[in-house]
Amino acid sequence: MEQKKILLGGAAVLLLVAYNGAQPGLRAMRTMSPVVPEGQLSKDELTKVKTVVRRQRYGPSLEWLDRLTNASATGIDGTKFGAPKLDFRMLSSLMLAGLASGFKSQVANLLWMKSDEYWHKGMLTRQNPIMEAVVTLDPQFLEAWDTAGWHWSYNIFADLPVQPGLTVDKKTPPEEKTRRLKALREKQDVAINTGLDYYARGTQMNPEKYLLWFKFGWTRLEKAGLNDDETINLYREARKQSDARNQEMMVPGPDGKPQSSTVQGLDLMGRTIGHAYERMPDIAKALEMYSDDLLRLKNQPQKKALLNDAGRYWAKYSSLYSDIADVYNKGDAVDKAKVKQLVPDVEHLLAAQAARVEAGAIDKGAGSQPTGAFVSISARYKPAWDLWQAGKLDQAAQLLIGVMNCDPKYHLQGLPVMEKIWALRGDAPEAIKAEVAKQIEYERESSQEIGLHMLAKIFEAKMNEETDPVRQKAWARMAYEQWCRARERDSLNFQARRRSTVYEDKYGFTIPDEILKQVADSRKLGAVVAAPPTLPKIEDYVKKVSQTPV
Amino acid sequence: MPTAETTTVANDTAINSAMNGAAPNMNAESQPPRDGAGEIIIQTTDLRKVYRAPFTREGKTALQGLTIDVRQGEIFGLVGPNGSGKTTTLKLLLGLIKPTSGQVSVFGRGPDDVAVKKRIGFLPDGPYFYDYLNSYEVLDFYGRLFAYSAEERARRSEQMLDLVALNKADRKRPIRTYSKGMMQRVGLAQALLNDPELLFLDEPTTGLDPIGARQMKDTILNVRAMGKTVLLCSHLLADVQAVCDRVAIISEGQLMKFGTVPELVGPSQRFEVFAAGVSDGTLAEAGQKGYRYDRQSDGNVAFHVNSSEQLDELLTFVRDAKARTVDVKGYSETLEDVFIRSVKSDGR
Amino acid sequence: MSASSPAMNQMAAAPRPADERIEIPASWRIGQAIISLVIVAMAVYYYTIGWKSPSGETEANTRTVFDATGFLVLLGLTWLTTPTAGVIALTTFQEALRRRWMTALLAFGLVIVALSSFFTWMQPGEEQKFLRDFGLGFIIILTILMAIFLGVALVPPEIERRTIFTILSKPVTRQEFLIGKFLGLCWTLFVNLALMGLMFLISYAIFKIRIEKGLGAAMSSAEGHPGLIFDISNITRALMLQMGQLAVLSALALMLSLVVSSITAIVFCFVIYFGGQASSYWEHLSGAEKDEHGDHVEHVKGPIQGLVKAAYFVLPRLDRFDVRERLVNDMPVAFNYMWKAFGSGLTYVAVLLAIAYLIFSDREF
Repeated sequence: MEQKKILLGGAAVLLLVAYNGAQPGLRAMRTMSPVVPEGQLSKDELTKVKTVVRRQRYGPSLEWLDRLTNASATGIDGTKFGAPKLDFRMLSSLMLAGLASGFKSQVANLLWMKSDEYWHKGMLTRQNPIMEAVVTLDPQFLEAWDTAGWHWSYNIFADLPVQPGLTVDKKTPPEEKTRRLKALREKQDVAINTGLDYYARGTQMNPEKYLLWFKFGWTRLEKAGLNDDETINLYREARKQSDARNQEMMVPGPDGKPQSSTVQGLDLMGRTIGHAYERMPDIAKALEMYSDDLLRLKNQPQKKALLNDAGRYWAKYSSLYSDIADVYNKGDAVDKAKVKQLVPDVEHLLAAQAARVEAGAIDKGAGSQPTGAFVSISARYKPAWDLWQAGKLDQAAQLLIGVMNCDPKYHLQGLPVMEKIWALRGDAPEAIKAEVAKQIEYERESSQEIGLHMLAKIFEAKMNEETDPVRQKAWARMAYEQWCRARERDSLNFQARRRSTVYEDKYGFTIPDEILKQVADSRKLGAVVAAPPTLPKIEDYVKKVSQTPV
Repeated sequence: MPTAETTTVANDTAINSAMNGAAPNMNAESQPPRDGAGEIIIQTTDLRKVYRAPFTREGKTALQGLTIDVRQGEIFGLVGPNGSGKTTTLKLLLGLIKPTSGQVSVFGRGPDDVAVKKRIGFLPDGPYFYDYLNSYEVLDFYGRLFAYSAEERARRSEQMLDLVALNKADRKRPIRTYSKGMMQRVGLAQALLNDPELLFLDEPTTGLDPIGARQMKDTILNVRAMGKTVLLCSHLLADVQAVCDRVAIISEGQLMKFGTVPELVGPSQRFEVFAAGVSDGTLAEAGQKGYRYDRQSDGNVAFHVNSSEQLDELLTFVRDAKARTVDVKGYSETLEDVFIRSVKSDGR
Repeated sequence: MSASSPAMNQMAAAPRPADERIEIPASWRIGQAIISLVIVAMAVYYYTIGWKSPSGETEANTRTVFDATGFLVLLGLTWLTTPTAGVIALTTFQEALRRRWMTALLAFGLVIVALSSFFTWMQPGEEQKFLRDFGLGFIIILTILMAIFLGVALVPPEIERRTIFTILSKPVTRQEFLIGKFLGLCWTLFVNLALMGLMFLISYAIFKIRIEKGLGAAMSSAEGHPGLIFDISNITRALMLQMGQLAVLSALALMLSLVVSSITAIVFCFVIYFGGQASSYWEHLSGAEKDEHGDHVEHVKGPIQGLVKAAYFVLPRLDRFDVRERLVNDMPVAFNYMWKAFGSGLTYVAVLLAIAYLIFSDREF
C-alpha cells in the first residue's frame, strides 16, 4: 500500500515535470510567431513581424499591464504629443475583478460608455484619459482608436479657439492677437499630432485592418495638411488590407462628424490615392494610379494614349465632346459629312470615346470614376504638367492660369465647333448659349484647387532654382499667394493652409486684401474663381517684397 | 443503584413478548448458535486507534488493544457509553478508518477489500441519503453499485422496502420529506439490499418510536434466523440484551467484558419470598437471623435474600414459622447492571 | 414486518454469486476498448498530420514526446472508469442538476446568452467581435463559477451527511469514488457548457445573418470577412478549449476541498484561477520567454525571479484555454494548438487527481 502511494506520488511529480516540459515557451507558442533568425530581417521588417506577433496572441495575455507601466514612456516615434495620462479612477471594483478574470475588453467597453457620457456632457478633456485607458485595455477596439484620433484632431482642435486665453476678436490688440494666434496654432498642432499619434499606435496594434490606416492617412492629409509620400503610403497600406473594399466606412463628413457610407466592392482606397496625387500635385503619378492600377492599362499603351486623346478632345471641345461622336453616329451621310468637316479627326475622336467607354465599363462600371478622373486631369493639367516637367515653367504657369480662367486661348478652343454640332443636333440657340456658359463655368470651377496647387508648386520650383535672396523671396511670395487663394477658396483645404503658414512664419507675409476681395466677390457670383486673372510677374513681386525687410 | 424493581419487571416482559413476536421463525432448527458454535468471521487483534489532529504530536486514544471475534450466525452486541469507541470499532471493521496498530480481518480479508464489501451491509447511525431522490431511486443507486441488472435492482428495491415496511405512498416521495424513522427504514433497506452475510448496525433503534424499535428488533432476529451474522452497536442495553447472543462491553476504548449474555449476567442473584400469616414474633426472629423484609400493603411480608443458599434457608424458616409462602420471585442481573458495574470498576 | 417473511425466505434461498469481485461486464470493457482505440487514433493523427497547423503557425508546430502525456492520461482515465465509477458520476450529475442555484445559474446564463446580441450597442461598429468576446466570456465565467462551486461541494457534503459511509461500505473503492465524482462534475459542466454554447451559437448565427442581411451573405467568406461556418467552428473550438479549463478547475476544486474547508477551497480556487489566467505573464516575468531572436529575456532578478518561476512551474496554465483574442481577430484556432492545450490540461488534471487520491485514500471519516 505504502509502495503504491510512493509510486503514485512519484508519478504526480513526473507528470508535473511533463506538464512543464510539454510546452517550452507558452508565450512563444501562443503568439505562433515565426522563428526569425537574427540578421535576416531589416529593422522595419522586424518591427512588422513584432506587430503581427503581438496581434496573433492566443488567450488573454496580461500585456495591458505592460502597456500600463509603459504608458507614460515614449510614443510611437520616440515622441509623445501631449498624450493624456491614464486615469483609472473610474474603475470600480467590479471592473477590477473583470480585469483580473480576463474581461478586459468588457471593462474597456464600460469605460468607453463612460467616455461617451462625457462626450455628450461636453466634457471633452475629461474624456481623454478614459479613451487612453480604453485603447490600453483593448488595443483591438478599432472604434476607440478611431474616435480618440478623431476626437483630438477634430473636436479638440475645433474647441481650442474658444478656450480662455486663446480667443481673438476685434477688440484684441494686434500684438496680443499675434501672440494668441501663435499659441492657438501651437496648441492645435499638438491636438492634431496627438490624434495622429492615436492613429499611429492604433495601426501598429491593428495592422491588418484598413480603417485605421485610412483614417491615419486621411487625418494626416485633410487635417494636418500633409500631402506627401508618407500619407500616400498610409493609404497604400490601407488599400493592401483585405477588408479595405468590402466594409461600411466611416468618413468625416463636411461637418466633421463621421458619416456612414457603404462602399461595397469599390476600390475607394485606390481612388483616394489617385486623388491625393492630384492635389499633391503629381499629375504623372495620379494618371499612373488611375490608368495602370485602377483601370489595369499598364501594358496597353495604345488604350492609354486614346484615353489621353479623349482628354485632349475634352480640353478642346469641353466635357461634352462626346456629343460630337453621338451626332456623328446617329446622323445620316449628310450629317456625317458636316461633322467631318467641323471635326476632321472625328474618327479618332470616336476611337478615343470608345476607349473611354470601354475603360469605364470594367468591373461592372467601377471603372467609370477612374476613367473620368484620368480624362479630366489629362484635359486640364497634363499639358501644363508636361511643360513643367520639360523645364518650361513659365509656359506651364501661363497655361494653368489660362485653364483656370477658361481663357479660350488656352482652353475650350473648340467651343464654337461645339455650338455648330449642337445646332446640327437641333438644339435651340438659347439652349446652346446656356450650355456654352455652363461648360465654361464648369471648367473654371473644377480646375481651381489642383490648378492653384500646381501653380504654387511651380513658383516654389522657381524659388528653389533662384539664388538671389530678394528674387527668391519674390517667388516665395508668389507661391504663398497661390496657397492663400486655395485656402480662401476652400476653408477645409488644410494642405493650402499648412503651406501658406510656412511662408507666413518664414517671411511674415499676410494675405493681400485683393485676394480676399476677389474670392468674396466671386463667391457671390456662384463658382468661386480664386485663380489669378493673369500670370503674375516676378518683377512686380521683387518690388513688393523689397519694401519689407527679408 | 437507581434501578427500580418495577422497571426491571417491565423490561423482562418486553423481552418475553419480543421473543414471542419473533417466534414464527424461531423454531428449533434455526436456534441461534451459542458460544463457540460458528466459524469466526470477524477477528480483531490488539486493535488500537489513536486520532491525531493534524500537525500535533498528541492524539486522542479511541481504542486500546481491542481483541474480539464475531462468529458466523450470531448477533454480536458492541456496547459502551458515548465515546467509548463503538463507532470507531465499526469504522475500523468497515475500512472507513485505518488502525493505528493491531489487525482487523473480516471474512479473512482486510476490511477495505472490495470482495468483503459485497458480503456486508451497513446501517450507519442516523443515515442520510441524496435527499432529492426517492426511496426507489436511492435503492436503485445502491443496487447499481453492486452491478445488479435493472430488473434485479427493481425486484430487490421493492422487496427491501416491503421488508422494512415503508408505506407504499411514501416510497415515491423525495427522501428529504422523510421522518427519522422512515429514513432509518430506508437505511436498513439499503443495508440489506445485497443480501449480506454480515450486517453492521450502528444504533439501529435510535429515533424510532416503540413500535418501530420493536419492528427493528424483530427484523434483526429474522436476519439471524436466516443464518446471517449481525454486529450491533448500541447504548440501549435492554435492546442489546434482548437480541444479542454475545456482547462486548467497551469503555474508554478498552474491552471491559466479553461473552455470551448468560455468561455476563450469570444466574439469578436476588430473590423475594412473599409470605402470608407471618406473626410479629416470627418477624423479630427473622430480623435476628439477618433477613431483610418489609410488610406489604396487603398484610403479606416480602423477604429479600441475595443467594440461592439463603433462599433455601429462608423457605425452611418460613415453613417452620407456620407462615404460608404465597409467591417466590427470582431476579437475574440486567446487562445494564453488569455494564454499569464494569464501567464503575474502571475507576469512574 | 411479519408479512415480509416470505420475501425474506425467498431472498435467503436465492443463490449467492460465486465470484468475490465485481466483475466488469464485457460490454463495458468493449466500450472502453473502443474509446481507447479512438484515443490512440487521435494520437496517431496528431503525430502524423495534426501537429502541423495549416495556417503555418510555426511555434506550435513542434511535436514533443511530452505531448503524448495527454493521450496517456486520457487512456488511464478511460480504463479507471469502472461501471461503479460511472454510477457515482451519473449520481453526481443528477445531484448537480437538482441543485437550485445551479439551475438558476444555467437559466440565467441561457437568457443572457440568448439576448447577448442586445448588448452589442456597447461597442458600435464592432458588434460581431463584441458578441464573440462577450458571449464567450460570459459562458466562460459562468461555467467557471459552476466548476468551482460544484467542485468544492463534491466530497465534503458526502462526509458531513455520512452518505459516504453507505457508499464506501458497498463494493466501491475510494479511487472509483473519486474518479466518479470528478467525471460526474465534468459531465455536468459539459452539459451546461453545451447548452449555453448551443444557445450562443444560435444567437450568434441569427445576429450575423441579420447584420449581413441574409443567410447567403453571412455564409459567404472573403479575406478579412470570414463566413458563418468559420465563425461557428472557431467558437465551437473555443468552447471545447473552455471544457479543458473546466476539467482543470474541477480537479483543482475537488483536490482542494479534500484538504481545506469549502470556503477556503473556493478562495484558493479563485486565486489559482486568476494566477493561472496570468501564467503567460509569469512566464514573461520569470524570463522563461524567448524574444524574436530566440534569446531568453530577463525581467526580474534574484529571489523574486525564483518565486515567479516557481509560480509558473506550479500554477495551471489556464490562459492557454482562452482563445478569445484570437477569435475576436478572426484567426483560426488550429488543432495542434488545441491538442497542446488539452494535453497539458489533462496532464495537470492527472497531477491533481493523483494528489487528491493520495489525500483521500488516507482520509478517515
